[in-house]
Amino acid sequence: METMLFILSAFSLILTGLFGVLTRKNLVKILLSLNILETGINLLVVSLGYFQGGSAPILTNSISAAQGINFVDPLPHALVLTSIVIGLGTTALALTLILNHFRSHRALEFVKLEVNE
Amino acid sequence: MKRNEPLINLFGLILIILLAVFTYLALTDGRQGLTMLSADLEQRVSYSYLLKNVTAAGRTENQHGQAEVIPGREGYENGAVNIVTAIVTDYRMLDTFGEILVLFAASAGVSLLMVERKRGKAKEASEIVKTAVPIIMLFALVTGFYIISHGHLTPGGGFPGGAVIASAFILQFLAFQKSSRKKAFKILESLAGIGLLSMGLIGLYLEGSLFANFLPTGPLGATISAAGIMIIYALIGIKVAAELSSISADFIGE
Amino acid sequence: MEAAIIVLGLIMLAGAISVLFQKSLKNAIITFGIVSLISALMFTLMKAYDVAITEASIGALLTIALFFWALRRLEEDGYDEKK
Repeated sequence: METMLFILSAFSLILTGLFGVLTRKNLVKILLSLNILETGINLLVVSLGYFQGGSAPILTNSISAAQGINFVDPLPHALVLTSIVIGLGTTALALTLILNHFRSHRALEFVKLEVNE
Repeated sequence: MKRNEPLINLFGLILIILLAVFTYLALTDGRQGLTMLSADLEQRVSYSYLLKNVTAAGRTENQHGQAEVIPGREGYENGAVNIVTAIVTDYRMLDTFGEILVLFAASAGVSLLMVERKRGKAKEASEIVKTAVPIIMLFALVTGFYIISHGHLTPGGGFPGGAVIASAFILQFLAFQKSSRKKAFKILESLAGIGLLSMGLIGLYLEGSLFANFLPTGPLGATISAAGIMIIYALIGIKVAAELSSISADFIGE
Repeated sequence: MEAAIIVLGLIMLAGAISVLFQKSLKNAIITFGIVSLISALMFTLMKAYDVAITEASIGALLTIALFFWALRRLEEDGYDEKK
């Protein structure tokens, strides 16, 4: 039951971020919506490995195959660690490109380029 | 043609609703719906990561012939008690290496493409900020080093530790406007990257696979153990801190 | 426990929707910081402590700082939010 609630809240963030990327005009707002989309995806991936009554994946006592292993899945944690740092790199580079665009076009929206014959 | 605002909003909303309905129908399908949530715990991929018996040679057994891991003993595949650290630095080190490549590309791109700041009036920081920043920097540096060096025992590791150390340098930039260390950050980042790659190549030479664990692992759970993991996380922490400080120095400008 | 998840999820959803429809960019960035920090809290509730520390320090600290530095540079170049 808790896993379904986590998945639902992650999914709502994904849908909101996708709506923002599709319909906004301002470049910085499109970048913010992209970040919300990435946060939602990270939440979704981690919540797929969670089950009720699991414990954090750190060994404190001895575990063996006989007595059952009650840890939440640590593999999605490793993948999401990578994804968060890559999101930061993408945001930094996109902001640099936005600053360049504003310096040469004076407008923070998509500017139509005119085609001269 | 001009943008028709309400029409674009409506179109986006219809697409989102279609996507939501589609996903719901796909997840609650009878045959192959959300069966991943009720899978058996022993059939996960991370079952062999938890018991540290990925290769047949690294398996340790108890007297009944079942795989077992006990903190305090030696002789396991890696020495990390924190299983996420073991996955990130030992079992799936190639993904981490790709992430470091992406961060390096972002840092190089930011420093090449950044526009110069127009000469405005440079506002001085107030007295309170100038007095408090060295004290806060001390605590931030100590916390960062603690998070990096205990990556194999407690949650944390190289990435958040590097971010905390970078925030100490960001505070120094903002308070004293002295950003004359960009070259030092670039040199430090390059040295850490060379060290990381050479660790991988030495592992390839000694044991036959890239980034293999060739240093001895002490008793599981001791403070100084898992020498390979500690060295790798220290290098990653230095590299991430230098890159984030360099990106921030470019963004603050001047 | 389930009540906490429902309340936090609703706050996150309200914050995310209000990021899209804000007029001023500064308010949108601050609200996005709130969404990021609550997602770090949800990572803690899912017993994923490594991910929570990483998201709190990289997602909620450095991303917001980068956005504010870029906004400062845009306003120095002549970006006006009122138009």
